[in-house]
Amino acid sequence: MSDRLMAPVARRIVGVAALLALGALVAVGLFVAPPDAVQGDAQRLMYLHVPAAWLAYLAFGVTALGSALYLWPRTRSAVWDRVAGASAEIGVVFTGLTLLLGSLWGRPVWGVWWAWDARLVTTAVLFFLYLGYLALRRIPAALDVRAKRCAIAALIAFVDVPIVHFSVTWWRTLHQQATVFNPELDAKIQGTMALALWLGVLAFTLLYVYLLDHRYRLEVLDEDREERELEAAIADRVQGGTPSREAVGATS
Amino acid sequence: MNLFQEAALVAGKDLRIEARARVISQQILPFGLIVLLLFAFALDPDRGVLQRTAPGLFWVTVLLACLLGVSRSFTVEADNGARDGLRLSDLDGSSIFLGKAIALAVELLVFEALLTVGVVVLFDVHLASLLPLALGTVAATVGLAATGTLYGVLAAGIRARETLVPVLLLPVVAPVLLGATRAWEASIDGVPGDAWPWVALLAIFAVLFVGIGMLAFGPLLEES
Amino acid sequence: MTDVGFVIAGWVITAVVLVGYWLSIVWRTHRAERTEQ
Repeated sequence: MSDRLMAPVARRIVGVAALLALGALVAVGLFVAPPDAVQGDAQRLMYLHVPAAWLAYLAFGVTALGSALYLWPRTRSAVWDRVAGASAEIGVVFTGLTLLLGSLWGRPVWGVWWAWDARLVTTAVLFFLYLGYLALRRIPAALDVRAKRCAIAALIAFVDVPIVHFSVTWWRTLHQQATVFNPELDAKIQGTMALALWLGVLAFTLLYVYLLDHRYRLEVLDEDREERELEAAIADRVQGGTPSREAVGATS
Repeated sequence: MNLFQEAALVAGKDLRIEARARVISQQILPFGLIVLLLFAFALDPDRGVLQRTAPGLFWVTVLLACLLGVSRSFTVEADNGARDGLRLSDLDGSSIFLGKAIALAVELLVFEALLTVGVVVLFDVHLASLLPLALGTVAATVGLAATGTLYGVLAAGIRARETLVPVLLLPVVAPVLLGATRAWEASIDGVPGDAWPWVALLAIFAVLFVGIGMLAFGPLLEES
Repeated sequence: MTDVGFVIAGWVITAVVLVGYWLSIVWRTHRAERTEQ
């Protein structure tokens, strides 16, 4: 089972649960929950935007954890590197989604597609930090060399995550304060709206776990392919000819 | 040799190479001035826009020059297997890091001094309080040089290095751009006292990345 | 666009992005498995 993180049964359960939770989210978020007193129906985008943002935190947190475990000699293992890489890609997708949904929510509520306030800017920087990480993951290099570099880049990039979260408390922002995890820990949301929000978090989390398992397998397959291409290139060399174009091209 | 002596050795090497090759004076400085010129073309020079945005334009230009400086700093090591030479030498990774970062910082400071003249002349900027301006600039430059050297070695030996370093480095040094621009704005026509929190931010950033660089440079160099 | 338009756009785009990303994983996995032969 070295190309998977979960047993097939568990994976199936998570997948089904994710679908059910997503279905419940659509039902409650779009139909059952009432429109907001101030923002009207536009507020329903919160049930996607906030879970997406939380998932980005989670995904990058997993990447940071995996990176740290890889760098620490006693826990070093290719598994952590693959987890870090797989989770980062998912995190970038969720961060991009957060920005997109935020923009769609901001237009009717604030009147603008974008604002240069601390929350939005730091989130945009977060997006680009990990986009760079994904570029670093593609470099042609020995697996352990690449893993170490990526791990360092990931740990540095992760510093932005708490900055993003606390930006609304540290600076005056157009973006609202945290609804649940604010400094007073006083959740400012009740009833079916709170239900919709938590359904969103649940559904996205289950989806993340499901995606991570599949993305992990892709990492394993890609690593195997790189190794085989490298071996093919070496074998070509050993046979005395110049390396074939494909073999050379594959490693560049 | 202790840390600083070794660092001085490496810094001296890099600076001597630069003195002989004159890449800063003949290529990077003209690049900086051309960028200032381009800003003047892009923005409206008649309505004081350039004067108001000068700190931001200055520091964006410095960031771009830093990318070139980082690239140059490691191209120097790529030629003739110089990196192997560094690895085989007895020098400690932290010393090599400090040395290269110091050399890059010196080169950037020289560039910035000359670019400041350019900004004052071309954008009609009046430098008022020089102390927070100077300290902020030095702190920002140390931060840029340290972070640049760290990401330079992170990407060393990789074929796509020139395009990879910018995409990795620029988001990380965004706080430097922010802090340095604000410090300059406060020093030029705002309340000079406002500059000091930004100078502090720049100093913290610099210390942080010098520390990270000293820890990570050696192991990264070993395998590049 | 009315508020409802933004809401629908947001939910539809989310669905497209999530399904699209999922499909991209499936597609890349399929391609990686194929080259194994």
